[in-house]
Amino acid sequence: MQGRDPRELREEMAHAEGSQKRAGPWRDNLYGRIRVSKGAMDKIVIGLIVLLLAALALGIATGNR
Amino acid sequence: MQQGKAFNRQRVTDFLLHYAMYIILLAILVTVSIIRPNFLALGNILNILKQASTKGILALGCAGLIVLAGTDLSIGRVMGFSAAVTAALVQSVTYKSRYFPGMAQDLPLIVPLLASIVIAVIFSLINGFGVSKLKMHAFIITLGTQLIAFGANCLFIEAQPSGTAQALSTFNQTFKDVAAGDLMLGTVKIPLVVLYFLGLATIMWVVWNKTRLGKNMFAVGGNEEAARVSGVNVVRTIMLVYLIAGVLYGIAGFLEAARIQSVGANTGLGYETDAISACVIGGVSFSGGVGTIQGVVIGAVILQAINFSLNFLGVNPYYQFIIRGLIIVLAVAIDVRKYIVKK
Repeated sequence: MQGRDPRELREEMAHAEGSQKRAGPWRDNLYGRIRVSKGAMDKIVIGLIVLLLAALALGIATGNR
Repeated sequence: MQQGKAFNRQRVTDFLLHYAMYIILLAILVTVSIIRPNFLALGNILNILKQASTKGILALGCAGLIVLAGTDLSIGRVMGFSAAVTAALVQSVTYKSRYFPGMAQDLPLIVPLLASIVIAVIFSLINGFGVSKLKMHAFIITLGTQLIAFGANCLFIEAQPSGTAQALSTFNQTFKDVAAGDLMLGTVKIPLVVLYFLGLATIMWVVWNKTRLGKNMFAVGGNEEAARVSGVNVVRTIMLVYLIAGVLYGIAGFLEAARIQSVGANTGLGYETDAISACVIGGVSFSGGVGTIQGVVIGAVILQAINFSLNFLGVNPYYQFIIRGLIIVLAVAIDVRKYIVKK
């Protein structure tokens, strides 16, 4: 067992358990693990918009023209 | 009645959040135009288009990689190296401190163009091989090639016969005319680089929408496993998309050298941020399988217009970095939100 790639071992164990689970689409792999509700995401987007507008206002206020 | 009102309010909120990025960017442009009406002068618009063109060409290449659910952090440095090689090959033969003192006459322009493309394609194919064959994450392999390209560029620039690491400049007239010239339409000077950008965008539109490679690219980006089962050669598709990206980076390096007229070790620094931002603003999804060429073109122009307007308003340059970073984060957050709504 020693010196073997743990990924290989996991794969073998999955086969041994007769797991039929396949890799999901890339989109799901990338965003599918994000456990967040639509409401929370709305708040995040609004927060980022506020930050962007604040940065714009501060940038103009501290600008050189 | 109240339920109907709440439903309508929800729909309006959803619409505003869905298109928040475009609304904000449009609002910034409108505000700048009102505060400084000369912002919309033809000269400024052409200047924006000119500056957007080389970054737009980079974005056209990068967009394919993002459709494959990947990315490319090496864009700027690879383009910088390509631009340096171009610059060394197009220096005027009358310039005493030229890179190749033995060169007695100007080379045909196809030579520096091909050299620029070859350099970029080599790096891009290394990235493609790492992603498709070695299953490396695009962030890691392109981060590595970014540093390699930067190091190689520094060595190349430092190897000048003059013994200095000065920026490569003083190009021959033919190069300046072809790569950075203008087309006179009556009294209006249309920068040739804008036409090259539009031409390349048209070619890429055909590749994305009318060829098997384009269809395979979307299939692989949307669901690699399903694409493989359907008989798509995934490795070949990924390698071809990277190859095309390399060709586009090489062309961009060639044109950028002509546009900035002086190529140093820092040429291309941060261009990957602009190229990736143009893609995400243009609706290319980081989750793969989604994007359009027209979106990328619009994204590149909008982004450059924003950069231009921030300078025009005299916004503190440090805040400009923050604003550009927030635009990328916001675009991705909206993309995640769209994914959650769809799910």
